[in-house]
Amino acid sequence: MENRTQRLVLFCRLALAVVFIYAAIGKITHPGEFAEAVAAFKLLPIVLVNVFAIILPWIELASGLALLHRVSARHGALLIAGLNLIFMIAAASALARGLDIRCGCFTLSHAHTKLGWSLIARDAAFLALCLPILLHHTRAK
Amino acid sequence: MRNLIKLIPGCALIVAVAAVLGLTVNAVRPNGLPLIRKPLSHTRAFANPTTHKPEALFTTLKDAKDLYDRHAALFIDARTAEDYQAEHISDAVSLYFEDFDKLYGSVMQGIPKDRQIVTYCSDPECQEATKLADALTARGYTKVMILLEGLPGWKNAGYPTAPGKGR
Repeated sequence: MENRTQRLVLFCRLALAVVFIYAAIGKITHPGEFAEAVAAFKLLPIVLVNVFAIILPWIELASGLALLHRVSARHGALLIAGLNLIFMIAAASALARGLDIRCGCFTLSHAHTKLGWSLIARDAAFLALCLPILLHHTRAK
Repeated sequence: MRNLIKLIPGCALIVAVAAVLGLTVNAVRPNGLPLIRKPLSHTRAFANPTTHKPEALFTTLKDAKDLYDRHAALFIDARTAEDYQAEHISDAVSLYFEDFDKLYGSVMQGIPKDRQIVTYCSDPECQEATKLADALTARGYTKVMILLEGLPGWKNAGYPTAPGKGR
């Protein structure tokens, strides 16, 4: 049973690490494009958009890398859970305001995914993947 | 829960290191962003339609519509090809700014350098239209203007739009 749980936790860590490192690299290599995507949400004061667009991908990258090491995995999972909550609130708010904008989630491949409820469901799935990592390690303490 | 709270200092350290790295890389990279983003309307003036300056300036909806009605300007959509196909200003052509170097030759072939051009994107804070206008100016186009209000402003004014691949 413990082995199965450990495999599940390892799967969640690796899956989230791959997704968030990939997402971060796309944003880091296309800073201007990502800043446009952030601005389109109209949530942040315009003067803060660039600073947010500069720092956020590095937090994603650091969180993804943290997941790869057993010692820092819970920190990475907690950060990614927090990021996903922020993404879900931002996306829901944009949809509620009727904004017809791009997601800005993965800027690397020019995959200009439109924002929609399915993306919120995807973020919820990522959030769910954080739980086994956080709960398992919390119990193990 | 208490165990999760214990993680917060470590998380704060990761965020701090990430922020420092991000700001440092942005400062040294050639395409780094300015830290403070200015509202777009504060970055340049509106053009006087009777005079033309070497810099691409903004145009008002009214002046843009006047050019449109007289077929006196080429409208260029700086958004993605997908956005363009969903809806664009009638008769506009598509030239997505991020693919400027790849698309420039095919889209701008045969367009004289003194042709009046109006660029636009998705709203008053999107910057693709401004970047596209500057890129066209750098390629020698002398009469480039930016429709600050973008497609939503044009639509809200009841001016004509069209879906599809266009020209």
